[in-house]
Amino acid sequence: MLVLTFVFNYTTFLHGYLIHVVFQTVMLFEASMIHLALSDDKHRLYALCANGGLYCTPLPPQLSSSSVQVNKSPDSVLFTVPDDSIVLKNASLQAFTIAEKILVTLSLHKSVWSFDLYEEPGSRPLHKLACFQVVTLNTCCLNLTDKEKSVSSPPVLTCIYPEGPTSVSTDLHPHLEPHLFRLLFGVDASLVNSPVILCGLPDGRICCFTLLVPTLAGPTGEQRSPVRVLQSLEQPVVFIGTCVSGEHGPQCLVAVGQRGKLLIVRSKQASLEGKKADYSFNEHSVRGPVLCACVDDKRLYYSSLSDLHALQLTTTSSSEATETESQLQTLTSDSLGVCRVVALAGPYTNPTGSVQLLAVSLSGRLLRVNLPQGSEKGNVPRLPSSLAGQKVKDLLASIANIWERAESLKHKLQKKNDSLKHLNQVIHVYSLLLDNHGNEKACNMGTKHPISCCGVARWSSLLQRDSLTLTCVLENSSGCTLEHGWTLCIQVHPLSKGPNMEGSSRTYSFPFMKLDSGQKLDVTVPLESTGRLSLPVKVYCSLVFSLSALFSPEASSPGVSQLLTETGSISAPLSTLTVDWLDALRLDGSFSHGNIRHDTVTDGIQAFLRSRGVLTKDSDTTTKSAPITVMVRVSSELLKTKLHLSATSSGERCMSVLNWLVSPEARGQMSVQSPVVCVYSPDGCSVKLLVKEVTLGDFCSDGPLEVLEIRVESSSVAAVCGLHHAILRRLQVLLRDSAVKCGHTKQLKAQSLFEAVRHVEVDLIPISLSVYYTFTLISVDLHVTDSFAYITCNNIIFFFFYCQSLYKELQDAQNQAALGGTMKTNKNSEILFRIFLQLRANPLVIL
Amino acid sequence: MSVIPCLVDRWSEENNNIILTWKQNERGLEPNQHVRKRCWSESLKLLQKIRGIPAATERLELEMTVSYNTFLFSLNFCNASEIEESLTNSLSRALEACGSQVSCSDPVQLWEAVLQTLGSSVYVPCVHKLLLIQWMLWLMQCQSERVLTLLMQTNHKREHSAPVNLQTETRNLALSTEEDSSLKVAMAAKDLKDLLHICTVMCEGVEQMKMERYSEALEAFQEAQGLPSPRSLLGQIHTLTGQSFAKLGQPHCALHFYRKAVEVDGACLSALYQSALVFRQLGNPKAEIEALHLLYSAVQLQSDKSSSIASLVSPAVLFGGAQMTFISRVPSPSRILHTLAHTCVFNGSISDGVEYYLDLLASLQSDGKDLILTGDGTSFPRIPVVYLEAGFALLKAKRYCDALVVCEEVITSTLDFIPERLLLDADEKLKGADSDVVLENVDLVLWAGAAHLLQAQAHWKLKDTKEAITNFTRAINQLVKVFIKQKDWKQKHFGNTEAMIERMVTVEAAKGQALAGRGLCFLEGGQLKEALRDLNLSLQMTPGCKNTEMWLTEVLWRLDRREEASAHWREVHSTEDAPKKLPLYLQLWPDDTAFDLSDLKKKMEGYIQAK
Repeated sequence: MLVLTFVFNYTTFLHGYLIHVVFQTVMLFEASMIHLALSDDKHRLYALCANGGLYCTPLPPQLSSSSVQVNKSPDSVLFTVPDDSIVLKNASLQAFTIAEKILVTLSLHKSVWSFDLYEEPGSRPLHKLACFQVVTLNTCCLNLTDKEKSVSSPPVLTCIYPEGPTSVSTDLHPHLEPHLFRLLFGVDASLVNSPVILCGLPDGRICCFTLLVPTLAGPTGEQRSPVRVLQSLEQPVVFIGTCVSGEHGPQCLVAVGQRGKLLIVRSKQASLEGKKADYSFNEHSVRGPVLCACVDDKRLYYSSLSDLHALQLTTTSSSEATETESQLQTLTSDSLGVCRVVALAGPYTNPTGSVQLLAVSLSGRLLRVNLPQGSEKGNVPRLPSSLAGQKVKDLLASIANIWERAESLKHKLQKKNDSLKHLNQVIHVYSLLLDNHGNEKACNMGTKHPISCCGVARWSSLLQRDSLTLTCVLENSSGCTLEHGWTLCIQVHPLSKGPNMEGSSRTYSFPFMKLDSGQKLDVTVPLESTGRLSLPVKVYCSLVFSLSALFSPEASSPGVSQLLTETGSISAPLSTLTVDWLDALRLDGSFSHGNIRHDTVTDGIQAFLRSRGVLTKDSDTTTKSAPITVMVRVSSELLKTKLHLSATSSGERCMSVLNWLVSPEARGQMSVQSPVVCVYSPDGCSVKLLVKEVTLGDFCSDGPLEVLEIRVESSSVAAVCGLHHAILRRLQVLLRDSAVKCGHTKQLKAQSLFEAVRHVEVDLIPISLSVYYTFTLISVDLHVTDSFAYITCNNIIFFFFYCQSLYKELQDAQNQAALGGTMKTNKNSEILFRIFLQLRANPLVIL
Repeated sequence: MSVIPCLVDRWSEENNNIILTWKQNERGLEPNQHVRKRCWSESLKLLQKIRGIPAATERLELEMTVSYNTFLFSLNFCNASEIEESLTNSLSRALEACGSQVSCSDPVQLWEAVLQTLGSSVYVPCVHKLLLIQWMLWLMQCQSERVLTLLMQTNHKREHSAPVNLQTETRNLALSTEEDSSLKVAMAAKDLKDLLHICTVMCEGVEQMKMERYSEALEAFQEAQGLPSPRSLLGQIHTLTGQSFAKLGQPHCALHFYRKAVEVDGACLSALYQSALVFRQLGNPKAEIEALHLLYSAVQLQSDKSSSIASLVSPAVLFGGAQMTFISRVPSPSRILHTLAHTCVFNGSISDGVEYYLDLLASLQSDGKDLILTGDGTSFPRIPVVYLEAGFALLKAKRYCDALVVCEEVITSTLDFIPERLLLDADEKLKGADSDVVLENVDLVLWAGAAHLLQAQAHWKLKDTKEAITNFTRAINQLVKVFIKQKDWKQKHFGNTEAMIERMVTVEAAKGQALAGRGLCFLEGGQLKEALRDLNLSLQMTPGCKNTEMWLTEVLWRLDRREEASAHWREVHSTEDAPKKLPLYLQLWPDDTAFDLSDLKKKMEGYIQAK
């Protein structure tokens, strides 16, 4: 049985709601709905929308059939009401109702209210049966406040039937006992058993007309207006209904005004003296504003915005005057403790026996309000045991309800607290990280960072393929825990950008759930990109916190999380690592030989020239397999102090230096047992690294200088270049680290070295790797010669014997290449190689 | 720019397809309203497409034709003002296409401009199609003066010496209605023009009738009869002609035209109704009853079948609401049934009348109730009156028990309203509403009293004298509650309303009947003194009632007051029953004499001669 239809002023949804909550159907109308009603046979639903359209839509069969037992599908059905179903469109339509297969509409046009009667299951356009009009009153006499005017209440149309033995199909409309009905609406309506349409107008008048016999002859035989004004509430009418059921049906007609005026119409019995029977209008006041109301047998339920009240209406016959007076006192209302109700229906007895009201809250929620039962004090002790049990059950249920609500509130509060705590911790961690960063220089060598990240490059073999991976270890040695929401981000950024490797930096993020104090997190990232390893690589590690983690996804309003989607994270840099050729050396030869590539000088130059757009058809494949050698000389003293070498013999010193280069701290277990070590470069070329101590007698005026000569020998030019760069970089870092302790002069030299390396990195790495080495030195030369020409420092001296001439030679070669594209590459390569050899022959010495 | 002619072709084809669909539907057995709606929406879409690009002369013909079709389809779905707005838009675009400036939106001036600009061009047929639409719209809104202006503008070439008149203008109207076979239209311009012509003339006639200038109206209708028209319309024209004749005091001519109307269109209900009215006026109850009966059966038949409007433009649409109700006004079935029943009973065909009354009561009581409406401004009698009339008819048909039940209904329903005493002060001037309340109260008392009276008569007929006396007494008790302060209210008219006097006369008559009835009961029971008192009182109330007089004679005779009896006897024969306007349920009947008067007659005549 369909028991409820609700009107939403705010949304366009309709909830058809069944008492054995079986399913809901959601209907979507084009405009917001003002009013709706069912046809007499309950097969069609009429809805009046704000656009002035009256829609008629057949109800889904389940809804209309009265014998719905249990429907297995609880999901709601969404149904969009099409434009076609408009049966009547009139912007001035205000209200409507359906009774006796007649559709009664009320419209306001130019200060005339007109009631139009249409055939109900009619053709389209609807066949109009009749039209009656009522002139509006000037409403300013009602002293409506502006607020009340703005909330323009629509007129209320109610159809009331006389309660008769044969009235069956009219459970959609209220009834009234025949006696009062006859008194109020006349002999004719009562004789014909015709329903009466009552209309509460916004100007406070309650009009009525007999639906079936509207046009009757007046007393003088003329036609009189069918619409009669019953009474005026002098405030907008909110509700009209019947109440207080008696032997022959409800005994009262009740009307409620917006500002709380309550009109109760009762019949006065004819007294024995034959005095004319009459009815009485009793007016009472309740606290307004009244938004909506409904009635049951004894009570009127009405909602002011702040509360839902139940008003007990007495059943006493009002024949005695004294009793009428006492009624004023007996009108006491109980608060039901539900606020913000804007629509009411019911009450209905559900299968468990409790009585419920259905209500819609301002926010659009459908509520079931359990009515307190047996609230009359006198009845409480006389409750039968079964009812008492029921009552206890109800009470327990309501306690459970409240407990549930309280629990959910507590839960929400807890969540908010957690979020705040979490945020606080995040900010704490963040400030820790920022402190690290700011004082980086200060505590470089000193204490370890509370939260640090260090990485080691390793070779690993996967699917018969060797790849260089970087294993980063995030260590949390701070006092606090890194909670859910933190992400370790590792950005791998190759320093050399080949022509086909533009923007090849990659970022790996590792979100983790929790990192307690003292715990470590190991992550491994590949260093190769697109199958190619390009060294050196800079690795930036950072910790990122996503703010959305503060809010659990299911809770919290969607607004906050939406705000956070854009810029909802904070990031703190942890450390920057550089993985160079030294890191990538392989000490064992057990790698697959598939990816060995011998980069000869010629190849490299070819590649370079190709990248510069010079096409050479070089058929000369005279590859020189003679190893290329490069050496770096460093003052022994310097290294000794820097590396804290304790070894006294020169052989041990050499071995220590080699160890430092090849296997830094992380690889401590491997010790180099000889001053010469044969390793393999990442591309599989064998490289010989050797360190020996030489004495330079003629180098300095101070006397002979002990220097350690680090020599790299390989047939692969790439390996030689890479390793040279790596060694220089290591030395630079070493010197930089010690810059603070050393004196002014040392700082200067460090700066110079730093600059040299920086130029290599910044200006030259973009050039193809194979000619890197050549151009490194040339460029350094150029730079230095331009600015200083010849530098003599105390500790560091650069020799640039043939800088200028070499440069010129190179330029000539280049010009030739540019001018005559067909120039012999042989010559080209030879020139370049000569330059290289010349430079190599005069290595720099680092003191 | 080869796109544009291509577009014109495509759109023309689209238009023709829509029209083709419509024509097929029109020819079909069951014309479908949905098809019409679809045609409308499609042609509206097409029109919107055409209006999407600037107006140009090469597309003018197409655009105007599509507009014409759209307007015709939209008649059922839009109101006139919406169509008119769209029409104005079309005209402005036509002017734009010809490069003239559109200065105003006033339709009259716009039409002037359009007719001047396009009046002599090849587009005249199209312009005239739109002109027909404008004519139609103004006709629907009953703006005959604007129609006249419009038609005068169209006819501007002719010189007018005669006074301007819509009829002559319409007659002389020369519209070029050639059809372009490549562009189909939903309704041929010529057909529409003919329909508009006849409707305009009818409209004129109806307006004249409303102003009670019937001979002028007659002229208009006679012109309309000469025009080609559909059957139903011709029937209505005949009916209107008949009505004009009836108003001019020529009922037989009126009847002639009503008959013609029914011959032309069997479903012309207004003709039947009007002829019933004429028969009543002529005092021919038999014919009246027959006409009403025909009307009632026809109304019932009509309400069974749903009327579907097949044609594109129906006269009902053209006449607008008020005019149409005037032309084809017929009371509601319930009203017809009541009139029929009332006429039957009033004219003595009791058995038919009873059946009709029972039908009426059933239709009032049944679950599938009808809305009782009176379309023609008359009102339905009060329901208790209908009940009393039914009770009266049942009583006359000797169905006494049924009569008792029906009257009981009235008694219970009025019980609560009977005041203790209803004192009317004839001096007191009552204003509208108050006087209505008083009259209503008098009515209630009267109905209750009459119901008791009818019940008493039924009991009397059932030979239950005791019950009869009780009910007569109740009737008297009810009726004497109405009391007028001034004793001489019958002589002096205290500025009281006619209705009040009528009510009082009725109440007095009812009192008289009740007293006479009780007296008769007493007479039968042998309580001669009581009988004498009641009959005397009755005669005071309603002097000159023949039956009462004779019963009084009988009572006096039995009381051995022979002189008085003979005096009354003579009086009875010297006076005639004054005809009184009484409600049906208080009508006296010749057979009301319950006992044999011939005996009394013999006795009296013997006594008088013996004197």
